[in-house]
Amino acid sequence: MRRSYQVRKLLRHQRKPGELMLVSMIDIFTVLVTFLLMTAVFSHTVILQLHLPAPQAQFREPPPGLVLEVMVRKNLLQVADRNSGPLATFPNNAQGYDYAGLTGYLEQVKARFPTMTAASILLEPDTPYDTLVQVMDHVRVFETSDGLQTLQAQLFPDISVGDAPPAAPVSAQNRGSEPVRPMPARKRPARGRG
Amino acid sequence: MLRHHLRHRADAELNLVPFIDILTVMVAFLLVYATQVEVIHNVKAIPLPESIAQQSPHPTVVVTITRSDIYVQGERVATVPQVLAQSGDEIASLKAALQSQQVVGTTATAADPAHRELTIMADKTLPYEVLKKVMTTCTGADYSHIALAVLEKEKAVTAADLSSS
Repeated sequence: MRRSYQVRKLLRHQRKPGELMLVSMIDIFTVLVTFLLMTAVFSHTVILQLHLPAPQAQFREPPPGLVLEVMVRKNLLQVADRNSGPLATFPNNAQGYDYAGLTGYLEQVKARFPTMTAASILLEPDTPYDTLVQVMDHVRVFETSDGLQTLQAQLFPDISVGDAPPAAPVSAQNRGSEPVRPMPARKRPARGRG
Repeated sequence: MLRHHLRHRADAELNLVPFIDILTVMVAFLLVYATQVEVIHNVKAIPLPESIAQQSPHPTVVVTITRSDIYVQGERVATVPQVLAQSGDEIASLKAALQSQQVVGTTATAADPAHRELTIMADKTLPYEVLKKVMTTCTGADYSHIALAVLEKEKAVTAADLSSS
């Protein structure tokens, strides 16, 4: 029982109305997905910029006005003015350093000295690098949450880093403390009008 | 029964449409991610600190500090215990490596010593003492622009954020 070629062709066309040949596309996509998943990097690296003066600029007379210093000790954070001494101290709470208190205080300082951008962070020799980065974050910017968007507002982005004086923590006299590098002097801290 | 089977086998088809949909979405998503070229290669051995910084890195000389060693552009120049033990602030071998022509030549602005740039990738448990010595050496070797490489902090939307809006 053989049908003619034409009849069989007609029958075949009736049965399968039309097909896309998707196998090759699926092959390519699968390979692409595998390759891209293997090379994908989901942790994004960013940088924190430090502005350090060249070493030949040895010592400059500290500019008049407020010279902001944030001292990091094992058990407290301290905000100080290099010329006049400690301004505020934030002892550690149960979670560790009181970053919220520090940022809150620095916001007030920024409100009074809006043109000031420089700050020094003074650390003890065994302070972990992680703490330095966290303190830098909280001295540089503060985050305000506006609904779902998080906005970053600048506090003191020009950060220099130095040694904390070895004196007793609370009654530390900052006059003698000299950071490893002097503060960048290209921006003179101006006194606020307020 | 046999006929029943045969009929079904003839119609048996895989429905690949949702599969293709997923593949297309994944390819599009991963291609977008893959186009963000990583300038600094993240090394799994070094846990970087997390930060809210938003500045993207650009190609510079990279000084990598693990818990035990210091590398310049992938070549070991000093060990951390050795650096901790020494009394002065400058690390001689690191300085020599930073000033060697082949490292200096890798930065685009090598001609102008005032604008030489350097990125430090350090372990987050590293004591400040080591970092200070490395940074002093870097400024001593005429690298005035120093950047610290950190990981971008994941931002989780908390209930407090939602209720405050």
